[in-house]
Amino acid sequence: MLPAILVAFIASFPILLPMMGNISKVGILIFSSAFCSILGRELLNDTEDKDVDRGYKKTLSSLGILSDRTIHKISALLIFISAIALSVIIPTGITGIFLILSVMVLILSALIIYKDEGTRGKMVFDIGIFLVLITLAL
Amino acid sequence: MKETSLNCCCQTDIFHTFLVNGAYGVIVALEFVELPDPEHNRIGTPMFLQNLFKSFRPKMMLMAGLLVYVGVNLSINNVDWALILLVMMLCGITMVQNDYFDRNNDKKKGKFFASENQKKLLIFLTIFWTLLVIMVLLTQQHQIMFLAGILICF
Repeated sequence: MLPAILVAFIASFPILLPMMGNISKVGILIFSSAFCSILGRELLNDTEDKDVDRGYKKTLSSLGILSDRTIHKISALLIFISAIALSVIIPTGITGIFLILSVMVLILSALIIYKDEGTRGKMVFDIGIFLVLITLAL
Repeated sequence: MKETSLNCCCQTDIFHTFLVNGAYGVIVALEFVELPDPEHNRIGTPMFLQNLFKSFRPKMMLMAGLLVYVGVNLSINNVDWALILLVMMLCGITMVQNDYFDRNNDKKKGKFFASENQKKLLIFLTIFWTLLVIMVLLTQQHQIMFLAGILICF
């Protein structure tokens, strides 16, 4: 679990880089959202690679601590939390509409993952997170 | 009749032993002969470059760049393209390094690029990291120095 947390922290950290010394509340929310979603995706990846990782990496799936079903549920929950964190900062105007649509895609991916369809859920999640980033960058 | 069948059996055994020894001989010989790299592993060939490009995970690099750009949008600072570019490069090279470390395990997933090009990747990583550190020092990016420091420690 610790490597996945570290990867999620390092991967979501760049968002705070330009704000160093002046971190806003919105920045922290987006950082938390990125952290939760990346952690959820990492856990999903671990379930897919569990047979290969056995004896090489110590993950929740490869060690058999949690079942794939439980990990899928945790991932779905993390992605859902990430979507909620994003929905708090939805601005007004056209950007707001795009962000709502992107957040809906993220929630859809969480639902698909919850139904135990990890690979398809991951694909929808990737589309969702890409849309979120494009919208926030505009 | 019995003798013929015994003879036949012996002949098969001899043939089998000959085959096994022959194959073993070929394997032993191959260990001493350094074969040239296959086409897809030669530096500069489109296949090699394509595999190297894939190792950088361009999708992840783009995501990392976008994350920084979002951070820039949220802050009062101006868009710092050097910072975005450096974060993208750091993300890419970390992915290649990850492939290098996992080269043996990745064979089970059907990924052979890192294991087949072990030495080349190590040289490439050393050169790329050195250049990246020089770039970081030249651009005087304190934020990126911090991130690079974390990554190197990691």
